[in-house]
Amino acid sequence: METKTISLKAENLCKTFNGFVAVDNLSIGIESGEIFGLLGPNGASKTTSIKMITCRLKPDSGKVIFNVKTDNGNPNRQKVGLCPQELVLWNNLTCQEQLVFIAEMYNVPHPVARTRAKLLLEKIGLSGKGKKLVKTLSGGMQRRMNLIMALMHDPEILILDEPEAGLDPQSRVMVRDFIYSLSKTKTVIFTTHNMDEADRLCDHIAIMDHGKILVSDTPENLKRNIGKSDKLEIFFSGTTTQLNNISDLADDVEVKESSVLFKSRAIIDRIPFILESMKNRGISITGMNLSENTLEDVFISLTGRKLRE
Amino acid sequence: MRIFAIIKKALIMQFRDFWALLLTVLSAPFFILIYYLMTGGSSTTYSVNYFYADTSSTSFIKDQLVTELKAVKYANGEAALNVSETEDTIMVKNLIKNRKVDLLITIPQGFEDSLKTGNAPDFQIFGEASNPKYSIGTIFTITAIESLVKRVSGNKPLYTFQEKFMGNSVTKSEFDIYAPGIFIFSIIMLILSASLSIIRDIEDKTMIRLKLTKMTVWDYLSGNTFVQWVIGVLSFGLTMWLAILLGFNSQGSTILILLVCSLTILSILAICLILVSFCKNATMVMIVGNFPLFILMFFTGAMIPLPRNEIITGFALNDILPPTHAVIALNKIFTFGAGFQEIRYELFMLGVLTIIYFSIGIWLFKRNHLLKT
Repeated sequence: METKTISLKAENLCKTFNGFVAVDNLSIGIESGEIFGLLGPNGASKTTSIKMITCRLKPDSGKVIFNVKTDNGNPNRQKVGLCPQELVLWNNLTCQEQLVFIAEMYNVPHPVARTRAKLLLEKIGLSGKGKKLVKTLSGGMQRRMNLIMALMHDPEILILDEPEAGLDPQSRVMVRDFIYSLSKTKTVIFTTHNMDEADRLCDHIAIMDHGKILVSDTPENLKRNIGKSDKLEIFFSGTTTQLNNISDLADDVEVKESSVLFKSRAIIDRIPFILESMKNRGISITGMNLSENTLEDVFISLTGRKLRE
Repeated sequence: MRIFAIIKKALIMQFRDFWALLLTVLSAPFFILIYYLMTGGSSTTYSVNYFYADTSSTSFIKDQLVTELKAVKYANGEAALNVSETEDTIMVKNLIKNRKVDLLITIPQGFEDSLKTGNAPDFQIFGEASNPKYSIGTIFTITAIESLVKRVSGNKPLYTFQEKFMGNSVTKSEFDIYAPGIFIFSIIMLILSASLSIIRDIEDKTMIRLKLTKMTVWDYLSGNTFVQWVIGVLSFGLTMWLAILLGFNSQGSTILILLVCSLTILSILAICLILVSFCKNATMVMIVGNFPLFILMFFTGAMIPLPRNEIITGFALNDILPPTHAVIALNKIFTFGAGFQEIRYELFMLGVLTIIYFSIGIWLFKRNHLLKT
């Protein structure tokens, strides 16, 4: 059996602010080369957790271990790149200048920094903007700059705090592809409110609320096991008398005038069986509509519908 | 390498913030120019009005009196008194209230007779005691009258005084006297620009990125301090160059002047660090910064001469402000051509205060910004 390297491990992290428990015994292990999504509603303490993971905030208890197999548990912030939620850029420096500056702060040699800056600007769709002052870029461009600033020292672990916030659909697709391309060489951890984004990108997702990790699994497993059921509606021609004992085919079956609605988890696996069963009953199928359980359903199921501050 | 990166970044950002840089560098030279135009680069003159009440006097004595008053001169030959006769004492008293005239002297009835008989005449002098020019104007006026009395009466004075001016003070114009204060003011002006350059990293949260690197407090502060030091030296140099161009005369060594200037800049930057520690953004710096700015401007002798009230022997309250020692040191250099030995106490105090303020500043900055970011 293949043993994967753990890039980052947070063990029993706790943080309290004036008696308010912000993070409660948070433990996660992130495998090397994985895209790990940390999801949660507003105020769930995602950013606080990220701050502790990036050593910007000291936990009350617990510890963060980077690359445990190679570093004997010694944290090495040089290996971590952070793209904070807010735009953190020097407005009076050009894109090229600040990319090179931040690289030099990590002791990256100047020629390497220049080459890397050019490459990253190109990859994120900002080639030609290298000599522009950051303050003259659009909001979306600044967001993309914010992202590549975290990569100038070629970190092994990249932490992105809501990287897609404030991006238009085109930029979002570009950033998504860019993050996906990074996962081949880096471990990526990101927080987001965008369930679709998380579903498309993440190998592993943890959903947290009130400072606690509620679940942690692959998106497929989460959708399969939590939340509302998948829905399969089959339209037919004929009479409902042919539908005797059809309720055995799924957890929940609802017979309508010209259709049957099946509700069950992982119903996609049972579609051939349901169709065969209906055919055996002599039912003529005229159409079919499949609606799968989404990550949003999982999220709402776990965190509720109540609005947060 | 990181320090060089910080220096480069700070220099670029400082030059891109062109107007702030211009204001910092050119304020003091501009003040020097304005001050020169106001004083005309000449010595201070004292406006004296006299009312000649001795109706029995001949015009000869009156002319002699005016001649004596006009003969009071500085070493450079410029007249010390601006003398005018008046008949309307009420009008002159109003001018004194408005500080357009410094004093009014009434030459009493029987003045000419008293020169022959030896009787003491009763002069009356009117002036505003709180006007610093009144006292000096009065001394000059009395000196002129005593000279007239001595010459016309032929009486030998009971005593004589001989003035021995120290250093080059006798040749100093009013511009020369106040220019050193403006030199120090050019350094004090750094307090806002230097604080703004540091607070931007806090306000824009770019300190978050810097903290994630291996940057140390030393890297950050030494890089930024160096850039501000360069700006300070530039401002000081420009101010002094312009002053010399306008006739300012220095007796001392340029290296010593630069040493005093450098230490003063460092001490001001240390105060900046304390200021920035209590601020969260540029607006706060501009508001809170006025407090140390005005204290340093008005309580160090940079802008106005201050009385020295020692709270314990040898130590006055304003001794805790580094520019106080810088002003004294520069005056010693400019006026007496003082060498290192003569200003070693001031240099020592500047050094000690710089270290103390930097220690406090670094501690506060780390506590309030670096550990909190």
